Amino acid sequence: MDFVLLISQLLNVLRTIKPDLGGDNTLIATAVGNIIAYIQQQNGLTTKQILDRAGAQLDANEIELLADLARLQGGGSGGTGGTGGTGGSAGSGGSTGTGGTGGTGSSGGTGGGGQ
Amino acid sequence: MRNIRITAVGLVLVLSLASMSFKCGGGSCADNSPLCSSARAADAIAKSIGEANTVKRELARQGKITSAEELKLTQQLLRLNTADKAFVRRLKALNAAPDAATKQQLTSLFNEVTAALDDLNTSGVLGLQDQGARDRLTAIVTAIRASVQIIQPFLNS
Repeated sequence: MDFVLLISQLLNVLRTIKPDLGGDNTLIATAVGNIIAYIQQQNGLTTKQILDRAGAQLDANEIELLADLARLQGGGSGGTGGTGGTGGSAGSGGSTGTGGTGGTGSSGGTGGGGQ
Repeated sequence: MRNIRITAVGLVLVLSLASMSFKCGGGSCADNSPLCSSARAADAIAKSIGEANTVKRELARQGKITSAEELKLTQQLLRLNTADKAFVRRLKALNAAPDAATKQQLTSLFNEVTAALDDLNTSGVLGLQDQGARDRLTAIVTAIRASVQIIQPFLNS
């Protein structure tokens, strides 16, 4: 069944009843048609599987939106400084071995690019 | 606003019929279950948010929306996404038909979804300067509104 055509025709009927109905028929029909096609893909899935799919889609959306937000807000924040190195192990043998020298801390991360 | 509601009511009918037109398989989502319909709708909303973001990026690339408009839309889509995510998480945690207290929680989470959608529509999409951009995103908001209304009976039952 061509849902886009069906919805377009439904909207045409609605417009004869309510001529000042907002929105564009083709765009709305396409958007709703896309949702129906997506709902059709849920066929055979359990409720849990559908919710898992929704969760995965929402996680993906969040990553994309946060990336856009960082880009639009201009410039990333500076990286955090590295932690200091751990001290060396104590010397062994002899009467009084000296401890080793401390390790070097890692460098800070780089800030995100500004716009 | 009233016209959008009328359109959405018509579309919710089509979507409801579409979501109920599938045969039940063994162990699959029962079509007459309110929880199943809500899961389907929440999933459809998630997909529409992704679509709205894709369209938003395309409009920005074409210069049809300004950076300030894109930023506002991004923040509003993020709010909607977070609200739907919280609702989905609560639905996933349901082990049985919700009692009164659980329904109250679900209603509260669902109210945030509708509030975020209204905000996206009124102070985001409808405020866009470019008519074409407004029309494209309005279509997606209308589709999300139709999905949202599938969930409503579940909370009112």
